[in-house]
Amino acid sequence: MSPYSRKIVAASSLILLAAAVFAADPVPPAVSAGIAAKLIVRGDLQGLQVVDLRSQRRNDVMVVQAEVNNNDARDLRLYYRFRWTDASGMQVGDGEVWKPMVFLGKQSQILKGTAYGPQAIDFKLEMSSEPR
Amino acid sequence: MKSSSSFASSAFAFCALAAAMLTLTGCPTQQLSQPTVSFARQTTYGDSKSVETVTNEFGSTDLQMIAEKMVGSLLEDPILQNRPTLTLTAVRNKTSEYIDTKSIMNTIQTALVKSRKVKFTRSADEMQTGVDELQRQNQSGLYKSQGKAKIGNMSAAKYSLEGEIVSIVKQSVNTKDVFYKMTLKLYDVEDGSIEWQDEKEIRKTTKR
Repeated sequence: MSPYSRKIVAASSLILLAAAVFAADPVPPAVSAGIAAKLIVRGDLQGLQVVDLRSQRRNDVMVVQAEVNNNDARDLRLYYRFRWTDASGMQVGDGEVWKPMVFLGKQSQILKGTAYGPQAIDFKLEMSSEPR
Repeated sequence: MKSSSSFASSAFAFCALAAAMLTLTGCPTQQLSQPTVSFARQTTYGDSKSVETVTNEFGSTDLQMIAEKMVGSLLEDPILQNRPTLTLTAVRNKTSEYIDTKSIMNTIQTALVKSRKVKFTRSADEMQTGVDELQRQNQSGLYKSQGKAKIGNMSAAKYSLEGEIVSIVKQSVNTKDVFYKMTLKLYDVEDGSIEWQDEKEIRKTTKR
């Protein structure tokens, strides 16, 4: 093998190794541990990440807002729903419907949920995603 | 002779290996039967909360998403602070397909009643049943005076909830796009003003 060919092979190997290293580092579903504690994630969110999560009480019902970023260049479809619990940890309501939301590549969107009634004092955000 | 003995030793080795694997993994447990009537299992139950995309016509997920959005928006509004009385009126279907709008309103009403933040009175199409029951208790002569519901004590609704659903359908050679928009309004019955209003938009696209 000529020295030039050896250099080509070496450079290609380095590039492949670098790609493998970066590809093996998935985006975590939440930007912080505090947010992650409020998420129920089915498998891998494939690049979607919750970057902000806030809640407040309006008219004595809990309202939650989550900001989700798509860190991937691919379009993704997120399925999400909120799970509400009362002071003793019992579920409030019969469970929400799964809601689909399309994220274009590198797009950010807001998810909003309102509790069923004043008895809900805590929540979890359930998420699942697939390529669009 | 040599070939038959080598075959025999290979077969023995294979059997020994298979026996070892079975021992390590354990004997497969017997599949338990399930408490179902039909063994053919052509029909199965699904999750009522999952996303339904069988066709792009109005479906269960659309009904549930609309109800959730409307209920959430109404619960956040200060108009419900003093547990007012509400009544339901007709939701007009202005789409080109059949939609049971009463079932959308029933889902909304169920969630609002369970929240204990509103009181619903009988809607116009439910009145006859209530009137029949009152007449039965008061005019049949069968009931004790104490404990029977008296005529003339019904609570009137302060607000009425009404709305409409429309659709816009567009299609090309390989795409059909349906856009639904449901608008719900809360009217003050006495002065006719709109105290709350919200809408939910849904887009469903089908690739042909």
